[in-house]
Amino acid sequence: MTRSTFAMVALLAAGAALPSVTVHAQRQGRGALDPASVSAAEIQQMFDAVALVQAQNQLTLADDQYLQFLPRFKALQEVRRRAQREHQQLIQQLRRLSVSEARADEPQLKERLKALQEQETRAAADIKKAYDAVDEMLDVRQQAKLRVFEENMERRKIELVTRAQVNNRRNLRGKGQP
Amino acid sequence: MRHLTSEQLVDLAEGVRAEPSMPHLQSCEACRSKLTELRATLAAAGEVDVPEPSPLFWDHFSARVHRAVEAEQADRAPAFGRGWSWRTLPLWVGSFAVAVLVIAFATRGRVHEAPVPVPAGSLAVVAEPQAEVPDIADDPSLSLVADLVTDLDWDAAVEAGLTTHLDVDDDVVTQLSDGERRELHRLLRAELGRPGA
Repeated sequence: MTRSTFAMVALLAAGAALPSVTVHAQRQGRGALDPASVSAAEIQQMFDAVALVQAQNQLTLADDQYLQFLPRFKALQEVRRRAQREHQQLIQQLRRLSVSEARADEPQLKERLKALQEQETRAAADIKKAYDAVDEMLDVRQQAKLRVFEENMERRKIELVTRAQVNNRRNLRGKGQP
Repeated sequence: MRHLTSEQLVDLAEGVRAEPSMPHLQSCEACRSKLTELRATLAAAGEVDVPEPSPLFWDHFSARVHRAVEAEQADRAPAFGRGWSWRTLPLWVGSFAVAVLVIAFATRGRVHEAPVPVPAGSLAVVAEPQAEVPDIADDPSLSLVADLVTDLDWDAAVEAGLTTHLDVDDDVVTQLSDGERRELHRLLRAELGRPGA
């Protein structure tokens, strides 16, 4: 079994990691491979799944090591995503409040700014904790590879998002839509 | 209730359409709020100062132009090589400045489906220029940026200060259209099955 196949099997065994659409696609054939709509959450799940599958290869993790790595890395992804979401919510609230010129909003703004600072501190601590749990089972070289891998994954995500935008525009033009 | 699309909101914000032509706007707080936000962003984008890249960037830029010319002679890449010559260098440099402006606006706003990809995202075109660029040649704004960034690698973009705040978060994914998400889904599926992944 290749590393990537093992990773896929391990992910499926882990249950939640692979997006349901992928699993359904395997069960139902081509129709399910081209869903009518894909939610943002499913896309994020797929990003995570790609990272989880590629991590074994990139970090040269042995199969038994990967089985320990999998839940920890997934926990790190979840902590990070939750922090990001909370941060966005607070920024969104600040945006709304800061658009208003009313002085009455100032106490609210201060309170939300404080909440943002607290969220940032809490998120940094949570992420560090999750990272420590992953690092615990990696040697130093693998820890270094993980940092590089994560940076590369971010670039890859951006590449894929942009390519999706370009391809979609091309598809629309092919169908004669503006 | 059907909310206004990004295109309709942009048209309203830019004054291409009048508000009375969109009755939905009167009854939808969410769309009115989006429109207000979009107008504020457009106003802010109009005042943005585009930062000068570091001096190192231009040194490397020159070296990249040299390499691009050499590469073009060795292998005539369809997107970058077409029509390139030293006589067009000033135009190329000028166009690059325009692209930096476009990119600055795109990253500042992030409020609608931008026809021009966000900066680091533009680098996606770098990944497979020969597969993508010929197909978008009929879109002047997109092909301009695509051509300009074909030879711009990630490090150069970081050096130029174009990528510092970019991250693929929920917000970015949420702003994709259905078609873009379906396409992204397809690409990610391929990524999951990529040999050597």
